[in-house]
Amino acid sequence: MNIRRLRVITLPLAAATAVTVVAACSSSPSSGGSYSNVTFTTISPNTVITPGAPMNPFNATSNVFPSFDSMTLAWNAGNSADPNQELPGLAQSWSLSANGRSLTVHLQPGAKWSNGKPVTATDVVDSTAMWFAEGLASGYNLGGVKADNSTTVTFTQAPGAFDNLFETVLGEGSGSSTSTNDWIVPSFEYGKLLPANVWSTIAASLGTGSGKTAAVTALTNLGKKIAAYAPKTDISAGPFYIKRLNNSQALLVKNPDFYAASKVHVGNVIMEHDSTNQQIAGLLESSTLDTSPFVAMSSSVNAQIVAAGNKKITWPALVASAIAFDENVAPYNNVLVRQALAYVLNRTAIQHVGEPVVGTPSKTTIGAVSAALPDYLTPAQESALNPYSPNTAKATSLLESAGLTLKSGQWYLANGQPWTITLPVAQGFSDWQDASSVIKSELDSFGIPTTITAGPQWPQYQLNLFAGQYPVAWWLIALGPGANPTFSRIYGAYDGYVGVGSSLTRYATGNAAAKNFFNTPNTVTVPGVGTVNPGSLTAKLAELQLGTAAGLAEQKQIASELVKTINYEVPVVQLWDYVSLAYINGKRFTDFPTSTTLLGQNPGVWMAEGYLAAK
Amino acid sequence: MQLARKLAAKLVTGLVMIWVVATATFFLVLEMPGNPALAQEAADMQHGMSPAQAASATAVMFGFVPKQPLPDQYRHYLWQLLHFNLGVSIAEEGVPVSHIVASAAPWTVILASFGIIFSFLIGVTLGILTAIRRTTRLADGLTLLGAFINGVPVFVIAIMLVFVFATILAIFPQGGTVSVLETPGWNAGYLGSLVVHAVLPVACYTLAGLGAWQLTSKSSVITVLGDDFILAAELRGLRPLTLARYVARNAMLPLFTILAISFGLMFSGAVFIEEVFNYPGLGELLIASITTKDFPVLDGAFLLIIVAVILANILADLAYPLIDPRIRRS
Repeated sequence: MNIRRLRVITLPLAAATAVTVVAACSSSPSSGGSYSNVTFTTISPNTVITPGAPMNPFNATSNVFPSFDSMTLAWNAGNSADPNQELPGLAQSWSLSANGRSLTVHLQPGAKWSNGKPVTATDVVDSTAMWFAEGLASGYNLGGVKADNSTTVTFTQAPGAFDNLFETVLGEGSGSSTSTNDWIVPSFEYGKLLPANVWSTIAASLGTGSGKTAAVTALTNLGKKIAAYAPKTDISAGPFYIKRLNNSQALLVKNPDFYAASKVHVGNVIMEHDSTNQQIAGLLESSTLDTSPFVAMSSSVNAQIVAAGNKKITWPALVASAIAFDENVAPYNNVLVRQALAYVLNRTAIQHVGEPVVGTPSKTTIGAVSAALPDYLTPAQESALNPYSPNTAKATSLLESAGLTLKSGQWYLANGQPWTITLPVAQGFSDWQDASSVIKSELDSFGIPTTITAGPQWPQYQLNLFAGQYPVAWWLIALGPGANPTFSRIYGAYDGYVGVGSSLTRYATGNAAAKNFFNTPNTVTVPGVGTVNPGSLTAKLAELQLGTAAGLAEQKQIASELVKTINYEVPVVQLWDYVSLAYINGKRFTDFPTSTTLLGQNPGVWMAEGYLAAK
Repeated sequence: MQLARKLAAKLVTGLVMIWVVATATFFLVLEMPGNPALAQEAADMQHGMSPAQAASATAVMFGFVPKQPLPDQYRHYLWQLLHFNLGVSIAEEGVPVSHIVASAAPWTVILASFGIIFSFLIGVTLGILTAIRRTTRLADGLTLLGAFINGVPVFVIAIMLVFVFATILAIFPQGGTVSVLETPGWNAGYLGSLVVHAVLPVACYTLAGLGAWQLTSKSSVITVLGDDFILAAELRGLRPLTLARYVARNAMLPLFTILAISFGLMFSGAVFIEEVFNYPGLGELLIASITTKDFPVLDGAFLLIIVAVILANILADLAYPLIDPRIRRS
């Protein structure tokens, strides 16, 4: 009797479910414009899609999708040495003045917003004011901007400052990131947020007068107001605009007014958002996604995704992991000790565990990713670098030369104290955590008992580091593009150097003006190079006019000296270079880009360049 | 009159409990280690931003982090609470907490209420079946199955369902609530998509609770079946339907308590289920707000859970006399 009752309950339920499954599976694609039946599905791992959240790129948690609906003047091409290599966005072309202090940008002819209104120089000028309000522009020494005509603007450097305008104005907007960068927003929508005196306030905030504090406060308040602003609809100058979104997906449709609309062969984009790697892997394995980036990948998951028919694509990531030393602390103030540790740590073994899929062992310690070496050194110079191949006998010899002693399998410092290492790992860096187990094993075996500790989250980890709490620590180095940002990770603010040219000042650890934890000597003597001031050299890189061949040549000369210095001085033991990773699924689309420059961009950039066609 | 007095007393007690728990939650949440800006910066970096990008992306968020002394914050919180204002989110830059919580709550209610109802109906049915046929192999098998399901962690069930039905067979979506291709409204495509997206999470919720209902109801029915009044009823030759009603009313009492609390607790969200199925309910909101240290959202979500549990308890207390004459008479 009970079983019969159960059937009575379950049969209608099953029937209802079947009906709704059929109804759901028979959904019709959205319409509108050419290619309206071509839908490309990808994922936005950074943007948390939230109905009701502002469609405003200046809001850190907004519903915006770089390169699809949010546009910058240009997209950073990720060139390791030349940050001026940009891919056009809303800027069609640009030119730098002879003295490198102003940059003229010509907008794409025919560029329009998704409501049909033209993209104008006023949009760029007002957007620039918003960069200042969001604290972005002053960070890279931008002085101001003026409209030359309706489609041309000129940016100028802040008085007394010099920075690379190409990199800062054009290149900040990387097509593969969602950080609040140099977004161009429509003046007809956002202009009302700007007070009439915004440019005089900006000028006062950049100056040193009595009104500076009040101006900075006013700009900060304006920044909050802009960040919280929520336009009623998405107004895009990109190839797509948001039609609708729910809690986990956004539907973007083709913008017929996009300046390169004829090149775009996709009618709709479904943007998925899933918060975990397990979910992204599942979507790839079920061929739901046509492409997806992936961060932090294990070998087994990679094998499953590839086995499901996805193709793995990689490109250099211009960032590397390293072990850094505080040279204020013995024995790390001794170059022989640092060199010895470089011989003890087996990069291949450490990388094999730490980043088996999205990393490659660094060729040696140079402060730049190995892929950038040809940009700075000739093959002969490259082969002359010390590779620090694992060699414990060499390490032993170096340590003994430094006055350390080995007794019963334990190394002792020159003062007789046993040498131990505590290596903190920032929370969330699972690759560092995994790799640390190998480092511990290698150092323990060599006679340096090592303890791995769970550090705080990255921001607090950095603060502890800057306060001198970690004599030995994990550190991210070689952050390109461009030589100055690359080497500044060692000989810049983190070594106490602030400013450029005559204003270059060095601060000690603990000074709030800098973030010095390396504490390297002011000058070092490097065999084959001579006496070098690495901090000064690195600062000089920021002053080069990279828009000229002479500037690039000088950059190469300075960078080669820094590479050799780092290779000899070993302020860090470089372990692995990261590799960016994505998957493409060729079941529905063909004509994916092949160049690493484009692969490093979001698919919106691919489409604007004419790539991707439905099968 | 007596019922009104009783109701008023319970409501006053409930309000005091809400104040006590809300106060405790407010201070506990603020005492959590870490701060929202640092958490956001770390999350941005883990999503691939450079340290500089993460720092600049986070900078503007400081405007939404309360900076007043703790006692002032508490007074402000209580005062705003009295005006039904839960404040603004830190992580979602100024968005009202009430909007965020109200957006998440319906998804949890849909998921949890269907999950509770299905697991209750199926579990209790199986429990009664195994109690009545307790000497058969079928009952032994069902009891073993119920005990097994009861012992499997919910996240394991969720991952297995996703793996089999979304990844391998690909007959259900892996997550989310509805396909964005469907036009929202009362149309078959949209409603069908809602149901299809809810199938796996509801099935998971059902499976997760089914074993407990089955085992509890089996135990309860067996206890009642051994009572003298059942034997007396059988000897009096009462019809099976009347007999079943006797058994059901008595066996229902402990189950009713659990059911009432289940409905109250459903607002805490099925944390693991919502996380695995990317279902944007209160459970996922709790996880997200803990990760981002979004104190106002955490306070708001906890408050909703507290109020729901207290209300469920009050309703259960009031309903007992209706289903149990012994309480009514006492």
